[in-house]
Amino acid sequence: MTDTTTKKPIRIQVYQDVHPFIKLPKEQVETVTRLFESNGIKFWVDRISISFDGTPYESTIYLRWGMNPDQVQTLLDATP
Amino acid sequence: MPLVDVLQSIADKANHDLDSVNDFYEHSKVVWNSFEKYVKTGHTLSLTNAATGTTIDETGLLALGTKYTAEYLATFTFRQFVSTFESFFFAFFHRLLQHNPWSYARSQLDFDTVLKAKDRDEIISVVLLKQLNDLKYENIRDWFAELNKAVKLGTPTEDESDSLAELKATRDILEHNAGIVNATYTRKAGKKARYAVGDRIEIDDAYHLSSWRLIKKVVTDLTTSARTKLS
Repeated sequence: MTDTTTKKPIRIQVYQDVHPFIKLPKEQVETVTRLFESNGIKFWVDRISISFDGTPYESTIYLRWGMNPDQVQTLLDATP
Repeated sequence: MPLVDVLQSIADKANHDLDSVNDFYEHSKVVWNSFEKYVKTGHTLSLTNAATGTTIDETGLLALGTKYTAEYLATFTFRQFVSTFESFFFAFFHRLLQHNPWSYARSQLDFDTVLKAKDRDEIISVVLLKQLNDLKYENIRDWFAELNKAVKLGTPTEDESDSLAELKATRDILEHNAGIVNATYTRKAGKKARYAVGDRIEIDDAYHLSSWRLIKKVVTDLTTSARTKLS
């Protein structure tokens, strides 16, 4: 799946001791959450969305523990 | 695992947790300072909170920064320091008592504790946990008095014990009385009380740091003394 703002693929970010997360335009949150829900991916959407220097609002979706970030990335990559 | 190593691991966890919370406090302040510089160089920001419906820009957020760090961040992390110490103390004391439970030899025991337990160690553990749970509601000076009945560790000093009692009293007021001092605070804090009834408690940077240092010192001193006594 492509980030509509940057035109780059949406990537899952993984850091030690932190829930894996993706940052994406707020307008794409609904699409991604529907994709996750229909594929049994457990997640939550951060309440905060931020716009820097007038750019579109950005949101964050966190994967719950136990979700495999590689599998979720494959799912995102396979989705237009 | 030998008892001294178990006690050391309990202390190591407490020290790690204390350091993590201290780092969180300092790093969060750095982020706020960086944000201030970000705004001063002309950048803008707008954010919405879907839960509250609040929308705020960079100027509004910057104005809240001081309140967030001085009130919320400092009090939250201070409370974590004290909670970490409590968890450490009772895990440490429980393990010591399992090794030498005789100071609680006169404790009452419900028969179902015996019926449900799989062995003698479990019965002892359950009785001790109940005693320690009752002790949690007593003054912190009594914690150390009880600890010294079980094993004379000779630490902390009376002055340190009094300071810890004041820390605990401060935490309790933040937790249960919205930070407004009452008679319970003055009684629990004793001669180290920093406020009068009706005052509002503040966790300034110096108090925050000295609290963290004191707790770290007591954790280390108790563990070192126990290691020496039990080795």
